[in-house]
Amino acid sequence: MSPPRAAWFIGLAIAVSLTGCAQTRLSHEPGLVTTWDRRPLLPADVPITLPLVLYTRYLEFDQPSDPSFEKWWSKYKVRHQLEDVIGEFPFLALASSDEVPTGDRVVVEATHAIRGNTFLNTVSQSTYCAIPSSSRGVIELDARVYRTGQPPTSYSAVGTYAIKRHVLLLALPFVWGYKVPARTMEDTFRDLFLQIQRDLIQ
Amino acid sequence: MNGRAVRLHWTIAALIASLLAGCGTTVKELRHHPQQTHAEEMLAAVLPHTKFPNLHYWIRVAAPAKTSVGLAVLPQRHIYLSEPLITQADEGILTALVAHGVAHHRLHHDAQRNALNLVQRAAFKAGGFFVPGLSQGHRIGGPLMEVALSAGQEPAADTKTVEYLKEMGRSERDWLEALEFLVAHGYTEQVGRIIVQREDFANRIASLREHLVLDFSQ
Repeated sequence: MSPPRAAWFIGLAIAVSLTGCAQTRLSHEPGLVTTWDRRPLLPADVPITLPLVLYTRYLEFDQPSDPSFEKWWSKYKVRHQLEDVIGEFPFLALASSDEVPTGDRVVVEATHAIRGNTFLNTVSQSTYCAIPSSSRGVIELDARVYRTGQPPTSYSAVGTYAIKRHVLLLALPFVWGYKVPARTMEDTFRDLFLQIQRDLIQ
Repeated sequence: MNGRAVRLHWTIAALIASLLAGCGTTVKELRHHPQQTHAEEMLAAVLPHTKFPNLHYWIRVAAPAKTSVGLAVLPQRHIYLSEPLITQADEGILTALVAHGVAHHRLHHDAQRNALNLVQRAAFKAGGFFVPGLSQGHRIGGPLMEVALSAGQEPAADTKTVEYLKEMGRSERDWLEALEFLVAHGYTEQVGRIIVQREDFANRIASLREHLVLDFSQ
């Protein structure tokens, strides 16, 4: 094989293996910077510590996917982002999923879903993103707070981000926006915990 | 037909198959459905009778689909009850259906299929090195194997469901009634990628009736 031809093949192999990176994450909601600045602080003399139990799942085009690297990675990311945020809310303590608390507790069901047109996304994947596609990442959090002597209360928060995929985006690493899903998850967790905190103060 | 043409045909067939697979049936869940709490209560009644009561299951109400799937048991411990079914069926039937969904998960039916699928896929990939196009054989072999496995898994899940119902202090006839309800109202059951055919219900109902008759005669 002549050197230019080999270089072409190596380049193609690298491009194909990197097609997963050929995506950019665009706008995301909620943007909670201002809300976070105006957060109601829980008074220090309220000695509340609620164990928080987190259950995660990953849906791909409305189907629970199994087994896949994406599922494992999404579940890891959601838990990791929660660990980053929970320190800002001292009334919450992350409980181990092995020992589920039975008394006062917060149970959070976290759904990370990728939504969009299944057909167009399959075509795009089959052509190694030569045909562009777009989808929407959705973080849905449903929490239920159990407190002794009170009926359980429910809370929910939703965050979204947009994904565009095209093989040409490989050449534009500065628009990849890898941090967007992580920021969306963190902001959505904050949105949820602020709602719970507001009710605890009242 | 030369080798290149054969390879082209296989590639086109594989592309079509992958496109069709992408358009497969999906269960569309309804977020915050009024019956959600009811469904969770039924699940909470079943779980203490399982080996690992602390395991989390996702129970959701699904939007009506063209395939008339009444009960869907999907990966990551998901149980879906279709919206028309949850409004039509009574408490006993719904609890039996939820117990059946849990039974499939506890028996690791989806995991077994995935493990065999993986082995089969690896075998076809290896075969592809010697026979052009054989690496795509799992697209046909996979569903066939799943259908074959499903035939053996359903009776096992039926037995486990009856066990759970007995432990809950409910009548095992609830499961028989649930199956008859599914048939009478044209619903079917989906486990993983496989939708149980309506004809298969007849065998399961007959087997269950026989089992119940034997139990009563003893």
